[in-house]
Amino acid sequence: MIRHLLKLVWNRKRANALIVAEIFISFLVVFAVLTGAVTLITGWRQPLGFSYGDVWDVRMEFDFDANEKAPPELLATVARMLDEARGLPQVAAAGISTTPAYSFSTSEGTRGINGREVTMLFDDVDDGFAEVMKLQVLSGRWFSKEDDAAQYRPVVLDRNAAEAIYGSTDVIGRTFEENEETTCKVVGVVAPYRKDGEASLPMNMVFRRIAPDGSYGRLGNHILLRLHPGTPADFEPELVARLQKVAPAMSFRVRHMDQMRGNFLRTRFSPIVLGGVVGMFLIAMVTLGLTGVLWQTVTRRTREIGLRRALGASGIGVRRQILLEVALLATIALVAGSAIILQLPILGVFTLVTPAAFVTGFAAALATIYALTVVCGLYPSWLASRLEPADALRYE
Amino acid sequence: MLANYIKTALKVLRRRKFFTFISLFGISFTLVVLMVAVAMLDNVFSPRQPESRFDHVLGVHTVGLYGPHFGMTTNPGYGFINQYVRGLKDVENMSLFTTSSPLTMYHEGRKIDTHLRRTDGAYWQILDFKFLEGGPFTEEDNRNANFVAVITDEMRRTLFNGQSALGRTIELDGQRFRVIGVVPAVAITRNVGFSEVWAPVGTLKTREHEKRMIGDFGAIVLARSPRDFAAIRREFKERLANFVFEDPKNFDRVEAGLDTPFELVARNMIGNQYQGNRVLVLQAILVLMALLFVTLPTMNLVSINLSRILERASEIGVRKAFGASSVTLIGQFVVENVVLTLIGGAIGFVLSVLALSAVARLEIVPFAVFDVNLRIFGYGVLLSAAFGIISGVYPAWRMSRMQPVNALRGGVL
Repeated sequence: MIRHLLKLVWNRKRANALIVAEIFISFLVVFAVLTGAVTLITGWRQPLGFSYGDVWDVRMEFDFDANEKAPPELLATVARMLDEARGLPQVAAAGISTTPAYSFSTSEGTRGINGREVTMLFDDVDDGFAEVMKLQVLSGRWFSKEDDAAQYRPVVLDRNAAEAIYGSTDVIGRTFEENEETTCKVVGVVAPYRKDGEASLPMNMVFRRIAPDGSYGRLGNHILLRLHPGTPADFEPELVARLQKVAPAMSFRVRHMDQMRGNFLRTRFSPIVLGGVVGMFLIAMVTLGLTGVLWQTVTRRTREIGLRRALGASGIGVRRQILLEVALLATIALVAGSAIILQLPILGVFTLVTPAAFVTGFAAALATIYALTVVCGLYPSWLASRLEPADALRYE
Repeated sequence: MLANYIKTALKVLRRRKFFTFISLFGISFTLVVLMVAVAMLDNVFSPRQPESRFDHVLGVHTVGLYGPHFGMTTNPGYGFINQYVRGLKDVENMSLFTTSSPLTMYHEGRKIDTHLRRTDGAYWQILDFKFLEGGPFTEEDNRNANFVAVITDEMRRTLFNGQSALGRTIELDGQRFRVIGVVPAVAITRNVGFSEVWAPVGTLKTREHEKRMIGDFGAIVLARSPRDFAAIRREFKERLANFVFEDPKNFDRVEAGLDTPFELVARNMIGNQYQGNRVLVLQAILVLMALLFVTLPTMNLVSINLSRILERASEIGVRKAFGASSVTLIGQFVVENVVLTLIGGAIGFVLSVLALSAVARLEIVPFAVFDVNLRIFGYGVLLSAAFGIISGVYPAWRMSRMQPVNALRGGVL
C-alpha cells in the first residue's frame, strides 16, 4: 500500500514538491512557536531565587570612567546614604547592586575555566544585597565584614554557576579566578538566581563583592531597599529628600521592583507574543491553502477515483487513500524538517531553551503538523468518497 | 486588452469563492505584517517633527575606546564633544545635550515618572518644535544657568490638568524650574528629539562633566547640505587621529562616527567592526528578514494559483491553438494576479491602519503616533504589486508551457 502510494506521489512530484516545501517550512514555524511557548511557561513557574515584593530601587546617577576606581568621596557619600536609609524606620534592609533584577542592564562574560568555556552573568553587590533580595544561601556564607581582611576577593555563585564551572555544588574555598594581582575565591553558593525573573534563560550567576574601602569591585549605581510590608507609597518623596540631603549633587530615580518587573516582562514578552501571533496566522493560512489544493487535486482525479470505485473499492477505502497520501507528503516534509531541527543542539540552542522544552516542542510540532494536514485532507477526502462511480467515470 | 484581462480576472475571482477567500486572506495578512513593520521603521528613521531637518543632520552618540584587553562603547562626554566635535568647518550649527534620563518627580503628593534632557540653546534651532505656548530657552539661559524648562503637552496635562503652564514651577531632580514653553509630546524612538522635560545644560549640579571624555552626552551637527557630510566626517576623523588618551595603558584606539539615525542603529546593532558598509549590512538583514517572512505566503499563493490555473486548462488550450504566444499568456496571468493582490492589498491596508492604531493605543512605544501617510501608502502599493508579480510568474510560466493538445483535454501540469 505504502509503496503504491509512494509511486502515486512520485508521479505528481512537481505539484507535490510545493506542498511538501510548504509543510516543511510550516513545521519549522510551529516548532519555533511551540518551543518558545513551552520555554516561557516552564520558565514562568520556576522559583526566582529572590523576592521582589516590597523592594525599591534607587538609581543614582553618577559617572566615573569604567576601569577607574570609584573616587573615595563618592564611596563615602554612598556609604552615608546607605546608613541614612537604614536609619529610617520604614526600611528593613539596604544594599547595592550594579545590574539589579528586572533592570535592562546586564553584565555578561565568558571565562575559560577548567578547560571549559562558561558564559556567566555578573553583578557587583555589597554585603547588604542578600538580605534585601532574600537570597537563599545553600552552602557557605554571603559576603560579610570578615572578607575585609582576607587576602583574596570573595565571590558567591548560584547553584547553576557552581555546577557549570566545577561540576559540583561542593565548591566553597575553590579558586574562581586567578591573575598576577589577586585571587578570587568562592565563599558561598545561593539558590539559582534568575536575574531577568520569569523571562530568564538558563544562566549562571556570579556575585562579586564591592569592598567597602573601594579596593576592589566596581561601585554599583543602584541602592536597593527592602521596606517593611505595608509602607505607603508617599514615603517615597520623604526618602528621596533624605537621600538628596546626604548627596546634594546626585540625581535619583526611585522605582518599585514590582513595577520594574511589569515593565520588563512586557518589553521582553511583547515581541515573542507578537511573533507567536504572526506564526499562528501563517499556519492558519497554510492550512486553508492546503485544503484548497487538496480539494482541487481530488476534483482533478475524479476519473481515477471513479475507476477505483467501479473496481470495487469502498468509499472508506478511497477516503483512506487520500488521507494516507496527505500523511505521506507530511511525513516527507517532517523528516526533512527534523533533520534540520536536530542539528540545532550542535549549534548551541540549549543556551536558549532547556533540552526538555526542546523535546516537548519538537514532539508537539510533529503532532500538530500531522493533525493539521489530516484535517486539511478530511473534507476533500469526504468529497472523494461520495463520488458515484458511474458519474465519476463520465466526468470530463 | 488590459481592460479585458482585468474583467476576466474579476470573473474568475467570483467563480470559486473559497479559493478567492484563501488568496485574499493570505495576501492581506502578509501585507498587514509588512506594512506594520514598514510603518514602525518609517517612524524611527524618516525625518519628521521635531527632527524634520534630520536629513541634514549628523549625530555623535557613541564613542568606542579599545585597548589590548578591553573595549567599550558608551555615550560621549561633554569634554569629548567640546574638544572634537565643536567648531567643525562646513557645519552650520551644532548642539550638545545629555541623553534623556528617566527621573521621578513628586508633584502635589503624586509620583510622576518622567524624562529630563539638558540641552543648549542651539538644540532648539536645529530641531523644529512647534511650541504650543511660550518658547524655547536660549544659549544665554544656558550660559547663565537659568532654571527654566520646556515641557510636553502630556506633562502639562499630568501636572497642571492641561491649563497654561507658563510661569509655573516644577520640582525635578532636587531643583526647581520655571516652565517657559510647551511642545507636543515626542515619540520615545526619537533618539535626539525625545524627552518630556528639557532644561539648560548649565543647570547640571556640578561641573564634573566638563572634562569627561565619556559620559552621558550626545551632539548633533547641522550641515548646509547632505553633500557636505563627507567633508565633515573627514575633518572629524582627522581630529580624532590626535585624540589624547588619558589612560594609554588600557586604551589606545578611539572610534566615533558622525552618524545618520539609520547608521546609528546599524552601529548599535552590528557593532563597529563592519567599517563603512555597516549600513548595507543592516539593510541586507532587514530585506532578508522580509524575504524569509514572505516565503511561506508566496508558496501558499503559488500553489493556490497553480490549482486555479488548472481549472482553466481548456481556455488556455483554445488560446494557444489560436496562436497566443507564451509571453502573452504569462502577461495575462500576471495581470490577473496583480489585480488579485491589489484587492488583497486594499483590504490589508485598511487592516494595517487598524492594527497600527491598536499598537499606538497599547502604548508599546510610548508617545509614538503611527500615522499612515502617503509615503507608507506608496510602500503598501509597491509591496503588494511586487508580491503579486512574484507569486504570479511561476504558475503562469508553467501554464504557458502546456501543450495545446493536452491543455484542450483538460491537461496535466
